[in-house]
Amino acid sequence: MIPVLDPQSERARVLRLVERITYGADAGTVAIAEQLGYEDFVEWQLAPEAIDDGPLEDLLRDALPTLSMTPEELARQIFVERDFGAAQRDLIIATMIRRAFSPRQLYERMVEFWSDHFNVPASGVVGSYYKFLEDRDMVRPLAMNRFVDLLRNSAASPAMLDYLDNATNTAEGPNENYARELMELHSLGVDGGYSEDDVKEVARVFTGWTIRPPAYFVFDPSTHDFGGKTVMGEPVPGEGVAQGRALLDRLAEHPSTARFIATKLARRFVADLPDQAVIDRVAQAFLDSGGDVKTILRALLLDPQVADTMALKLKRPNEFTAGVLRRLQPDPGTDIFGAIFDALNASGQVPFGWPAPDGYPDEREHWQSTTGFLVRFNSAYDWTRRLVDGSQLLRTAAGEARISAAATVLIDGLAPAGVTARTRRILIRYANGLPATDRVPAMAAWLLAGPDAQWR
Amino acid sequence: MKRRTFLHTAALTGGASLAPRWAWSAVKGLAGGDRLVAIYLRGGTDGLTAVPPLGENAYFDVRPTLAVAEADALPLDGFFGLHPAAGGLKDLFDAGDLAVIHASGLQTAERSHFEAQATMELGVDAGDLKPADGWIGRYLAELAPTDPLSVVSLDAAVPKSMTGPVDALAIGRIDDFEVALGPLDRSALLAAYAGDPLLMPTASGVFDAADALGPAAALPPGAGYPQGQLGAGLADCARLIKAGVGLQVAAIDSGGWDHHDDQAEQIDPLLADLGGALAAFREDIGSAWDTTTVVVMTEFGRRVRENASLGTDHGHGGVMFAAGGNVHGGQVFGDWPGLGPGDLSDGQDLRVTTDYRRVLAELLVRRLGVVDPSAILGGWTPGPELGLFRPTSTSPQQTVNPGRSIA
Repeated sequence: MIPVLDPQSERARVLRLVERITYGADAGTVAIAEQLGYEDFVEWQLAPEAIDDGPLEDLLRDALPTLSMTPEELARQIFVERDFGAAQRDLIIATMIRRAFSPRQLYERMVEFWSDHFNVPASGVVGSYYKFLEDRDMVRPLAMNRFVDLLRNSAASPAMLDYLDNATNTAEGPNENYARELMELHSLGVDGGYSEDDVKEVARVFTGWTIRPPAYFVFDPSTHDFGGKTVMGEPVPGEGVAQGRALLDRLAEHPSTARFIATKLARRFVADLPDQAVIDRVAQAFLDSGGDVKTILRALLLDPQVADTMALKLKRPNEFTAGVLRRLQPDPGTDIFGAIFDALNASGQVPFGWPAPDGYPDEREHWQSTTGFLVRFNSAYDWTRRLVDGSQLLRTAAGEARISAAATVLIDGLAPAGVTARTRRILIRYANGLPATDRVPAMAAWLLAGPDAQWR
Repeated sequence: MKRRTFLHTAALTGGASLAPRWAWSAVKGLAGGDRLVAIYLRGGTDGLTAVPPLGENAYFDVRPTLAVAEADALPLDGFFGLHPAAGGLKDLFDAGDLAVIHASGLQTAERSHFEAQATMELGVDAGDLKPADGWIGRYLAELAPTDPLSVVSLDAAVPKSMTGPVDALAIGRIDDFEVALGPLDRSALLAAYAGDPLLMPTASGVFDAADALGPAAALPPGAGYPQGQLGAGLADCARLIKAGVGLQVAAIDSGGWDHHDDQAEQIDPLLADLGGALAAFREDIGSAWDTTTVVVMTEFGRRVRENASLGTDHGHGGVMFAAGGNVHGGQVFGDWPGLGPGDLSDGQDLRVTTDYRRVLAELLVRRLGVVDPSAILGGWTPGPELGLFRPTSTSPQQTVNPGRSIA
């Protein structure tokens, strides 16, 4: 990609920031960011509680009734009335609608980050039921709070207890699945300083942590191993359920955890191979703040080195899809739920669809594939035709008599950083060969499927 | 830093640990090699359930509920059996087309899924510096394939094992690989992507693959494949072979082998998929079976002693399979380390007596035309051969007798 703007200009820095912390730089968000400036845009997004997302949530609540059901109501619908598909579909659509249209963009990005970090696939009927409740009640409310709270919630979440088998982890035959991933994937990282013996000891600590129907955590003393445990050379204080909580606290404040989370955040927001100096500074902010997510994000996003780093990240499929929707801005009332569901299912990144406990990959190597790009091309083609009468931007472009004027409208709306003169020439030259009614959706699809729109 | 410079530098420094040592590069083109189908079972397949050591009493002690009963097992050689769901594997074994390599895996124990998978796919041992490219990718660098469909992942992504200078196409399912765009869209997009050298191969790969897949897409899927992931993948692989579109290396993944609980009911359909898919594949491709070699691997075997969830935790030694018309099949290879208390790795897991790289080295030399496989395997030098494969006419003289059955 040839940068159109001077990469060190204020406009370029702000555009990169918007692409980094939102799900796509549409013209409206870019205007807000330019008005606020780099730092104030970060601060605005770091206080999601002050950003009104009421209208969107009202719309979702009305359209997707399972979103506000109690665990008991939902259990009734899924297990008694045997209507399983609605809840799963509602969760996936709501997730994508929020990513695309919530004004709390950085917050939604963090919801996704923790969903990946504490990955539990919505697989099978029971697993999906648990995941639905976990996402709504245990991940979303805490996405911008403290790491330790997320870790505690995850450890006591029926979704995680079921997925990594801790629900059947008992003194008589410990199950190591959760214990290992707790340290490898949720806290210390694989090189974080624990041993195979520690995995066994941690498994013993969490014996008896299980599920009470329909979907509650319960500690069962009858299956707990009350013997003493030593983890990473130190005895774990407390006993029973308190011992597990003490261990979670210890893991949450461990320097390896700070380093691991800092690395993953830098990888998600900045680059596949983040700079070690940046990681170190962010890890320090993690330790200094007791794992406060907002403080950590502030340290990362306001780091001058980060602000100046070029867009090195290949968009993941759901970032691509959200970016298309944010830029095309479908008219209110346009029925796009079904199309979103289909697009996500085809994309290779349906929310809560990654089967392994490490979450969807973050690196370009995984996503830069021929199938992945085939889906992007087809998807851009489909959305621009689907919304040809349902997007103000596409209607405005279609109202232009000249191809070059239509191209200008589309470039302003779909490529906020601008395009090179060469790209503009390509658009106009090839659009010339098409019937008049096809030109606007085709040029829009080329901009959305083109190389510049794949990076952030 | 500019993105392109950055990525370029990363690629260079990442690869520095394996500074070129292409002792084997004398064999340009490697024309005599088999078609390779590399299957990865993700999650850590329980070798003790797939290929139970029925002749060992300790097996029934450590697996009081999960052991495959001798009466149910499909007999292999008097000591080992096959899980009853793996009837397809039994057919191949009896036909001499399937070799089992037991107590195999990473020499150094690594019980993290992701570390163990990455280590194996990069062709090194646990704890080694990780090279930038995968073992298949380094083989491809020498093979220098030319057809668009020479190197294919039959999944949505290209596995780590295939990363390297040759761009592999990930095509997923053939019938889903359809371009909705018209010819003008295609020209416009390719013109735009010409300005982005990092993404250009992928963008052009989309259209090249769509064009080249035509003959394979025109063939109906073969008969007899099971419903699972491997059945679908191997059915598509067979269509590529039968269409004659130049397939040389294919990778296929199978997920869901991580059985910490209720193992018996979960592993059953997976073994049926593995066996049924391979047996159907052999029938389907006909004489091409004689120029095809399949290798099946997994990141580790599972804990010898079962847990109280009726499952097994992460272990060490596991099982590999090699199949094809050039395999010295009908045998279980490797030294069996035993399951007694003093026999185990770290006192808990099956020991590894055959480094997985020994199997790959033999495959590379005997069937894929590589002279010195050590550069592909992180500088590691394999010991004596197991005798898994018939040598090709261009292979060096074989130094050991083939087919040393264990037990």
